[in-house]
Amino acid sequence: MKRAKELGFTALETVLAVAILSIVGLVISEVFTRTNRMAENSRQSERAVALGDMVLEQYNAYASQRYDLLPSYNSTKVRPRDFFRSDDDFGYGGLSITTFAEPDLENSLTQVTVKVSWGGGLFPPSVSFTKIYVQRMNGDAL
Amino acid sequence: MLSNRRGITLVEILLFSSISIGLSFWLVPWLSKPSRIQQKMQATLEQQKALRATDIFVNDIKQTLPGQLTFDPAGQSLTLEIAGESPLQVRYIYQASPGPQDGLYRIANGSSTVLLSGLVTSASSAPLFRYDSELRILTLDVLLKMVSGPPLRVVRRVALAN
Repeated sequence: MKRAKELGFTALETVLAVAILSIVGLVISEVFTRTNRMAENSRQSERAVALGDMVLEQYNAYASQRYDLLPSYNSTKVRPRDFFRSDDDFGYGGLSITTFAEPDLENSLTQVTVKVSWGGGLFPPSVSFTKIYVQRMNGDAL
Repeated sequence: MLSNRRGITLVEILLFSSISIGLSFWLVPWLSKPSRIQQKMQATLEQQKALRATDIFVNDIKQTLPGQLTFDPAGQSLTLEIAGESPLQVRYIYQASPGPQDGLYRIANGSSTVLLSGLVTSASSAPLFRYDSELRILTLDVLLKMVSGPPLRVVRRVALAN
């Protein structure tokens, strides 16, 4: 006896199709989310490197004129406008600057560490730089 | 006994519409994600390019002979002398003419090189070059037009050598 033609989908086929589509959709959305996060991190890293360069130039100026006062410029998570004492953040809003100058009096040098971070959380992403200034005989820095 | 029914009922239309609208609201942000990601990556590349283009400016400033840096009052150009076997005079000038000629030019040895083009900053707005006489720091501050998205601000600060 011939089977009657069956039109439409059974419940099981529908459930399976929805499940497969959902899994595929979840994977695609995860890829998009991760790519977006990576692109954002890459952008922020570039900005942080440029800002770190500016901070080190500021320390170059401090070291050449006020070498002994380098530790007085230590900062913890300050905005660019606060570090540079300017009216705006120079386009680097959202980044924060932490600096630490560690003098080595025995060897007449000072190690300056600059960390630029962004985002929140307990361990925000950041980039760090270190520069060593050597004191000249006349009190300025090299 | 069920009669043959043709067409769609109002309830089915309402149900279909509400499901479609709900799905659209959920899908639309995802459809725009690829272009947003592409814009972010483009902005990162543009910033890299702009920073690399201004590296020559930073190098020139670092090699400037003491006391050999002069500004114009509007802050749209500066002239400096670079140390070397024979001092080299270099001039940086912002050319504000419209079209492909506008940009930040470096003029040295009789030839001019455009470092940055498509600047938003005009001669009547904030100066390109600013000098902090207390710290002896020179600042270059420009706004670049982007193909898509807001203008990109590029700032370079250089401490002058003693």
